[in-house]
Amino acid sequence: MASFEKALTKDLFENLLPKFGTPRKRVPVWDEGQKMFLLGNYESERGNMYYEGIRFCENIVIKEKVGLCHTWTYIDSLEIYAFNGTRLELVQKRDYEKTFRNEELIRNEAEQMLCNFISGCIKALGLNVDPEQIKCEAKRYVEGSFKSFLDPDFNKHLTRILPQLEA
Amino acid sequence: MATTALTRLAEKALPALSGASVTYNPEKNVYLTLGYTSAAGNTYFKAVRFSDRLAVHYDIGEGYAYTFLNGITLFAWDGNQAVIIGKKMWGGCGNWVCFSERFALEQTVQMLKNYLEGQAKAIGQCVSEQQLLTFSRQMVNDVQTYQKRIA
Repeated sequence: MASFEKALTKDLFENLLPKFGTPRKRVPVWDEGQKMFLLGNYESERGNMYYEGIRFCENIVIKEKVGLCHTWTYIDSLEIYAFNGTRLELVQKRDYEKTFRNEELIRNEAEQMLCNFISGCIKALGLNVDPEQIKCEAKRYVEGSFKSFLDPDFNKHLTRILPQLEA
Repeated sequence: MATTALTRLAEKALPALSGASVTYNPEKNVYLTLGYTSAAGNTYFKAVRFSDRLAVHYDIGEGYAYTFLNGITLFAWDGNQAVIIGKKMWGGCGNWVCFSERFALEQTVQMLKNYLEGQAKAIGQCVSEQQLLTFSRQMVNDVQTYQKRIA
């Protein structure tokens, strides 16, 4: 029984890490190092590679567009989506020029963008909320989106939104 | 026939090089891109190893006194195309890492293990930590030896 299970696992691994020339099993790729799902990559004529990644919590989705050039990693754009029922709506977007990507930058930018979105909505509604409270909530949402998929209590139902973003 | 297939693999196996050419360094058993030297005098280059299942890019920075590991990018194959399956970066305030083969290898094993763990979770499969690590280590060890076969 143990050797049968071992053979099944080996078969599973070989589907997830196929040999050159063999198609890979279509399963969303979780990148623990960047704390996001990778949506796919392409290589330009110059040999630079570009990829998209998303991370999310129950309230927001953050989408990154990243470019690799030689040994450097650049952030090309950041998008924040909010939920409207089960659909996603783009609420904030920022494009970047020659900006090196690092996690601290992504967190700070996402928090600022989310603050801007929330502040705008509050103003449109004619309400008055302490900016510090807005900042706190924005930080909480962004922090929630950096939760690892590998954590036992990650809400796996959220991955149902992935097909919307891959389209 | 086998040589042609391996050469084709080598040409395809080096994704995201931004047009840089590579040379094989037999002493280090690794493919190296040409370096870029910044105004500050630091030199940056990639060290690449691959197998028929994985490609690993190490982003290296040579400073005045130290050689740093700035990042590792891990690729799997989807047919003939390279697919990013993991990326980890170092550098910035308090986060500098000096390059060592052992550290780079262990990080690569961990990254591959995380990838496989995520994939297994996504398809609802339960795999033990031990199996994940054993397979990952075997795959990364294969990458270490593959270059000599085709160089």
